[in-house]
Amino acid sequence: MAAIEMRNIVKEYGDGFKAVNDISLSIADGEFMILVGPSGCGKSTLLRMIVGLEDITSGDMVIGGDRVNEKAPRDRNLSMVFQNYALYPHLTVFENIAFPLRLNKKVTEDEIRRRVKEAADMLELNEHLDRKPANLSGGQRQRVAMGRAIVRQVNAFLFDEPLSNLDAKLRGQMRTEISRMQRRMGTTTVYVTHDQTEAMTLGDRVAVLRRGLLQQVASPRELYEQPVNMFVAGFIGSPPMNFLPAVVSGNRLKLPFLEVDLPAIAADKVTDGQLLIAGIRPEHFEDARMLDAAKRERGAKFRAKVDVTEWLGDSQYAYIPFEANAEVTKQLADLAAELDSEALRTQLIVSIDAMSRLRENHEGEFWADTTRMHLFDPRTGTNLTRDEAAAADLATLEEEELRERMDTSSDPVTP
Amino acid sequence: MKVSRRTQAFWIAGAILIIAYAIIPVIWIISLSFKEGDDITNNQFFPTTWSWENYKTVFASDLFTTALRNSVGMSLIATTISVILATLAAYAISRLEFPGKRLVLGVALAITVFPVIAIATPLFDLWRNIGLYDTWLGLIIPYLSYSLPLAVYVLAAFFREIPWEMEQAAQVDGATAWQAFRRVIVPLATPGVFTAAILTFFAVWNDFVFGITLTSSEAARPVPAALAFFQGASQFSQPTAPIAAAAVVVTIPVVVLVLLFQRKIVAGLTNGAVKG
Amino acid sequence: MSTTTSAAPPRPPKETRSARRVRLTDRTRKERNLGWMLAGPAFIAMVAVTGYPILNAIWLSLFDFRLTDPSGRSFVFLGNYVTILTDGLFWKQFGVTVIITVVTVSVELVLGFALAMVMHRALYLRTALRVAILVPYGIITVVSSYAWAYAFSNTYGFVNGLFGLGDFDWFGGTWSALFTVCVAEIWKTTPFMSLLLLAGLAQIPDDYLEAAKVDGATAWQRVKRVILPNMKAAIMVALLFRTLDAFRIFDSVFIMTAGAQSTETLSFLAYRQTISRVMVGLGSAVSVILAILVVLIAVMFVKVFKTDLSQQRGVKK
Repeated sequence: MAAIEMRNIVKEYGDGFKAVNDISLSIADGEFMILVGPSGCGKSTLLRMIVGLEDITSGDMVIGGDRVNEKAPRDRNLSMVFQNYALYPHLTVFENIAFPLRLNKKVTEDEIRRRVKEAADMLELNEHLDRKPANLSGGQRQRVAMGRAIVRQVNAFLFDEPLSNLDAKLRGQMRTEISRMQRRMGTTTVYVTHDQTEAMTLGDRVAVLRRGLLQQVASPRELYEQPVNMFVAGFIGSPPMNFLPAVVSGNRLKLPFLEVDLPAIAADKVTDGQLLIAGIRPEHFEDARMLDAAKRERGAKFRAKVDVTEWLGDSQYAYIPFEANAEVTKQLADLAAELDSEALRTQLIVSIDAMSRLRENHEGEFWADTTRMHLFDPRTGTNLTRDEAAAADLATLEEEELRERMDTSSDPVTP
Repeated sequence: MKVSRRTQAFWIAGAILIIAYAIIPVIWIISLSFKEGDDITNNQFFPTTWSWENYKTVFASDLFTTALRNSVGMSLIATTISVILATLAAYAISRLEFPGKRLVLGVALAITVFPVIAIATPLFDLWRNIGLYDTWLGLIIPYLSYSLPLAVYVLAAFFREIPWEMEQAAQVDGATAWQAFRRVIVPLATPGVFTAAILTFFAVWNDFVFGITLTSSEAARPVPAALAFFQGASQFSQPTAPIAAAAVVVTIPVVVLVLLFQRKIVAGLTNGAVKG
Repeated sequence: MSTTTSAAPPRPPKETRSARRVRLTDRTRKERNLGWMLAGPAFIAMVAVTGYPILNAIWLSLFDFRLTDPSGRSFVFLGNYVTILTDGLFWKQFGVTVIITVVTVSVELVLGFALAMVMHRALYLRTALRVAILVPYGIITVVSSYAWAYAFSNTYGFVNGLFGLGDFDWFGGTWSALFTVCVAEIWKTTPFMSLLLLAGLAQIPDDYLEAAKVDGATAWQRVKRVILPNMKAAIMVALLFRTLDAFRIFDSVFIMTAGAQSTETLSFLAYRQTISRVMVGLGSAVSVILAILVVLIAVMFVKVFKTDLSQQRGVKK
């Protein structure tokens, strides 16, 4: 177990393209760190630099206090679960898990048997030890790959999108499994994913990357509540945050459908008449008729025509198209392209009570929790309403939680 | 795809036709090899009496038995060396970056394109000067250079299919480069090496041009070349039936290999061709 | 094969920036060395035997040189080429070679495609089919040539009896003799062609055909409009391989007709000039011409292939 420290890490290819651009990131001992971002953001490259499969162009990679830039993967004492598991097809499950141990001549046969048994117990693989990987289901293969990772004492576990080849149901189960295993063993873990559910549920902290640049490193809660910019705000949350054009008019802000007070925190960062982009999450809307009286005071009401509704049983979404000027439309399309999605039209997605009986192509009355609204500078994407004090509180909370967990699990866990 | 009974019957009929197409000439040469006396010229497909006479003639002839020994010996040696060299080269080509990689591939391609006959005649000249004419070595060397490109293509296609992650996983698991190669790559590549060996053997076994241009006696003449010069039991009788018998004998190894490894051969042929 | 690429040995942690750069090139250099160490032996084996003879052949083709009369060797520059290219016999043999190539390759393409279709669709007899198809591929060319030569022979064969042709001498006339050579060649090499085509066929997803069926395409329309366009690459590869081979046809001509009745091909001419007539200079020149022709064919194919592929890509984008 060890802390991982990255200082100004750069990966530059022969053609000058920087896949990873000056990233500094400290991962505490025992911490579960998520690297997340759209495809091509450099998250996998960064992971492969940690493990030593990719050269580091410049910067320092320090694991457990040692600079490892020039060390071969086998000298870094890390273990990794690959996206396609990379199970050795010619070896049985037992031999796959035992593989790392067999490479070390000093480990006795008894010791190997004991440790493989332990790992197999933990992952419920005991019935399959004599089978070949080709005869296993996707979930079983995934568990064998994890078995191979946990069978020896390593400085850290690395995961490269380990669940992306599983179907949705299995993915949910394995996610819980990985989380439980990491909590139990207390081993430092770096986990690459593009799935934000994994990012939000698994990690102590999440590092959001975009085109090789680190955008924000924070607890899932902080990313959700206090994103530093439009990219992070749009990336975290599903369905994604709604972005609307907002024009400053004195101390008021004009949005499509509604008009609100300009938030005090942003007041001195904007000028009169400036065009901003307002971000409101779908879940901060409601059908005005279904609203709690307590909530009513916090927001604003407006009327709009619903285009399509989606009823999912436990929740319901309504789509409300709106007109935006060309500049905003282009800005939103660019952002959508970068987030691996497609902006077909400018529309508002609102989450409403499942009991609501709003009808398609009819006008309805909605309520929006404008206190949770964020304002972004359309040119830089910077969040003008980020509350630094609240963010610091969340960070402290997260740190305490990790420390507490490490203390209770400090009894030596032998894998 | 769902297939109706009638369409399936159509495909089965097609399959039987193909099998007949492939097998009839082979059965013909076999039945010719069992003909004797007047049967040989009876213009019938099958002999009236089946006789081992021709096989006795063939195996009694030094010309054929030494040629058979030459063919087997030289083919095995050339195949072994070729596959070993090709395995190393194919691994380098599919896994490493080095200047001149394209040159190696280019040379391999050039050799497959260049007419054998255009090499054979100058080699004839050269070998006579340096004393390799009419020797085993004199044939094994050109066999090597002509079978290597094929073996390299087949093996490179095979290595490319072994996921990179296998070696990387081994490295992360703590393997040295040698351990990764020995414990992961070699076991995974074995079927490919095997397939390449069979295809190489076929190619070398089939050689005729080098066999007739670079030999002048029994010392190194392989079977295909010997067949063309086969004289039969006496100088005067037409050697048709004994040649048929000899032809059947040299076809046996081919048929055995095909029967045992048909799946591998097909995979090797198509992989190497389509991706290489 | 004792080291691989990405495994660099551990290093002392303190290093200056420039030292680090050296380290990287060091690693690349290692990879390069290893690459050549592994590929080198095969490369040498390939070049050693072919490089010198090729150059030697080009050199010798510039001389009037008869092996039995070494002292009479004289430099004639392109004289041999002029002799060959102005000789009607050469053009006749060129014609024979082209005819054999065109006939065999086109028949093989059609037949091979039919074979591939059957192998792709047949649910039963798959193993038997594979074995059957590999026998002609694996069999020695000389053996198949003998089998066909004897089958067509009016003394030993069954073909005349089967078709009631009496004493017809297949090897007595140019066209009938060429026909037998083509039959033998087609029989032996169609399986190889069909395997290459099968590989292409197998890459077409069944969805395409089902979609075409739903869209109302007949069986023939499905072949023409869905299967063939999606197999272009496989067809081109198969055609290239087989054309190059067929153009160099030698073994079957040697065995079946020995060049009689004007059935000589270019390879046969080269062989006869050098080995039988020991006209090394002239024979070498024929070899060089043959090689140039083969390269031209290959280049032509690759050119057509490339424009074709890029067009396909253009359409898709």
